Amino acid sequence: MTSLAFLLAAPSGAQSEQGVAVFALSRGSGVPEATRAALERVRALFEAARADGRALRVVETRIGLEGEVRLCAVPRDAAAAEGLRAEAERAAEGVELFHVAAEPCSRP
Amino acid sequence: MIRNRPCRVLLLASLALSVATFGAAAVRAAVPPGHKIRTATDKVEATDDNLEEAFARASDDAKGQRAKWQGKSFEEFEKSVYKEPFEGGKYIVSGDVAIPDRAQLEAFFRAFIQAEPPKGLIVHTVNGEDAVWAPAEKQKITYCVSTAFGGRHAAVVREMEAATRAWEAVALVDFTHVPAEDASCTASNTKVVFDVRPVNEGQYLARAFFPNEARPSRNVLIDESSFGLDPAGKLQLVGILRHELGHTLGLRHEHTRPESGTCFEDSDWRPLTEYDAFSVMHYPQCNGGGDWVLTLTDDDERGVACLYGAAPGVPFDASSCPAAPPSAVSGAPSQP
Repeated sequence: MTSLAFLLAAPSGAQSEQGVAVFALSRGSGVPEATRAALERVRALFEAARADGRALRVVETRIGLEGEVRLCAVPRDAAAAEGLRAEAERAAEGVELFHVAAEPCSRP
Repeated sequence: MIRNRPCRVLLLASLALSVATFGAAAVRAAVPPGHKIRTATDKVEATDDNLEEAFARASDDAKGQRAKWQGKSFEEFEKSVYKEPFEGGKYIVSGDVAIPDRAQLEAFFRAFIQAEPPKGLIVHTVNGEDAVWAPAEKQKITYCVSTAFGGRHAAVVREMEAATRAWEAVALVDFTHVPAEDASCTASNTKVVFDVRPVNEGQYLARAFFPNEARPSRNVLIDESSFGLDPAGKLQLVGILRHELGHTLGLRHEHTRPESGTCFEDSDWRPLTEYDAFSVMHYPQCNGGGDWVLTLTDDDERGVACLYGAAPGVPFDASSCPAAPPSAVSGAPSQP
């Protein structure tokens, strides 16, 4: 079996806290290269935030058939949330099929 | 089913009548996500329970209206409608909805009174035009299945046939496998409309294309990981292919519609029907209502028939379809 259980269940754990989520999406032809690159930039940002304590954890969920990914960071506090969101938006500015949302990491 | 939480806070009293006429989903969709709307009076709180009750009541009213006029003519309906008694007077329906002329009244009758509003499908658009197969192309959608699948080749052929049948059974489209091209099934093979090939990148399970794309981009790529699925699980290759073949017919992800509340992609699409959380084109992980079996719903069937016409013998009321743009774009496929 491969790691495709991602499509069958939401990530486990206590993840109802408000988070900063980013989505890398596909219209039908797969996630574009530029969108995947933006995801990697944000992944690096979130991992750095986790390392320095601004994020408590980072949750990754593959959400579709065509490589779509949702990456969500649980921030330490409101100030960290605001900072992470702004950084993520800057890292993905102008990139299609990529968006940032403030929402609980338990979704979708 | 109400899935979009921000849309659940509505103006109960004033919307009930509109919902009865136009359908609950249409009214919910009209409220932008994130808007908090107060109740019209202090008597009814906009709680989830009250909203569910109001929508259920309105939906029943709408069904009653449709039942009343089932089998009756537009002329009979027109006689029952109040028309303002002066030059330029408008038709008034549902208490306070003004319709300017007879043609629009007839369109209203066909779409909202006579027909059950359909649900669930959107078509990709390019510069405002539908990205679909032209009438001369839609029944000649040929494909090859690469022999590079090796020992899985027969299984992929079989699953492709099953998935194409699901669409052919409901719409006037015809996918044809050309086995003679399987040994040279590449993106540059112009003897077929598209190719089905294996990849091993781990980026996705599968991906497809839209009809407006040029031949080199018209591929259905199936990743190695699609063959490692749990055989007892709901997600199987045939379901993946049903979804991907929806894209090859021009269909977009249903969850990009604002009603899903997440997974927004862009606005380059045109609705064929109302929002359907159970559509084969809707991912369960994007607030979908269905599962990973990915089968066509009744609403998917009606939606694709709106684009291409219904398959022979399939009952279909074309008057329930929204108006199409004047022309469509396709990739001018090369044919054998």
